[in-house]
Amino acid sequence: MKTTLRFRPSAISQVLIVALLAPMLITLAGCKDSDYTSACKASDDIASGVSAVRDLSEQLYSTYHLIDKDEVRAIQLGAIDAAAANKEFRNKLRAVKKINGDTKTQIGAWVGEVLTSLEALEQSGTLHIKNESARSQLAIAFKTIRVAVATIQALAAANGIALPAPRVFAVSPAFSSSTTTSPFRSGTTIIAPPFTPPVFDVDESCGKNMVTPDDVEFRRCPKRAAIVAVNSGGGN
Amino acid sequence: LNDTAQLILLALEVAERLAKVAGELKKQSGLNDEQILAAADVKDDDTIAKGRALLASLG
Repeated sequence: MKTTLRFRPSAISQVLIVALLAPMLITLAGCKDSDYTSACKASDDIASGVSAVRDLSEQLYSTYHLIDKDEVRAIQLGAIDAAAANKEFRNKLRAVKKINGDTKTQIGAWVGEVLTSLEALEQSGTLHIKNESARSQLAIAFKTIRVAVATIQALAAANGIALPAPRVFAVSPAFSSSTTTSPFRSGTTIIAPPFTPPVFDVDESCGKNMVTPDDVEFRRCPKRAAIVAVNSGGGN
Repeated sequence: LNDTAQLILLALEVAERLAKVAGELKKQSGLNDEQILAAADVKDDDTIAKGRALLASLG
């Protein structure tokens, strides 16, 4: 004799199953944010990370005395720029209200601005810090920003949004008297003070690959007021 | 010993800041888009205000 066991839920059981599963399904559905929501969250994450880096740099200067006045000034300027760019990005997000084929090119450009500011902040906050302990602690704090940046980059990739590579040669009053031999590419953004055009002390030995001021884009930062001298190491 | 103590304090400082960031990320889950954007505005405004205040104090 063949016996087939079948589960035939009663009407009450069916109601109970739906009642139990519904919240779970709603929760699971909620796990997948819309792209717009993901962009909002990533911008908030960046705001948290930049805030943490700024706060930490103040502590490193005023409490631990591990970074000097010029270094903390450079980080503050970078944090202000990054926060302002991030805020501008959100204002533009609010205006478009969605990410689609019509808005993705614009969004790519706006994200590029934020990434450029973050790159400049990271350069100020890590590469140019003399004290090793301070530099390593700031690098840890920067990781929170990197996670948010990775989210935005993944979001852009999933939506076919081309992001311009951050091209930053961070120049700040802190390093106004220093020069660099690092080459930078044509189209590099130089974050420079207002009213005082960057001075290009061009190394003649760079020859044909020499970058001229016409090759770079200047972004004015209204709160900066120091002369910047840049040694161009050549471009490609 | 003094240097070691300072490094420990510094590491705790960083850990505290990262914990604060993590706490803020957790809060996001219960917010709608506009509330997330508004929360981020507060943070960036705070960063800008504190940064400018410190710059002013540096002279």
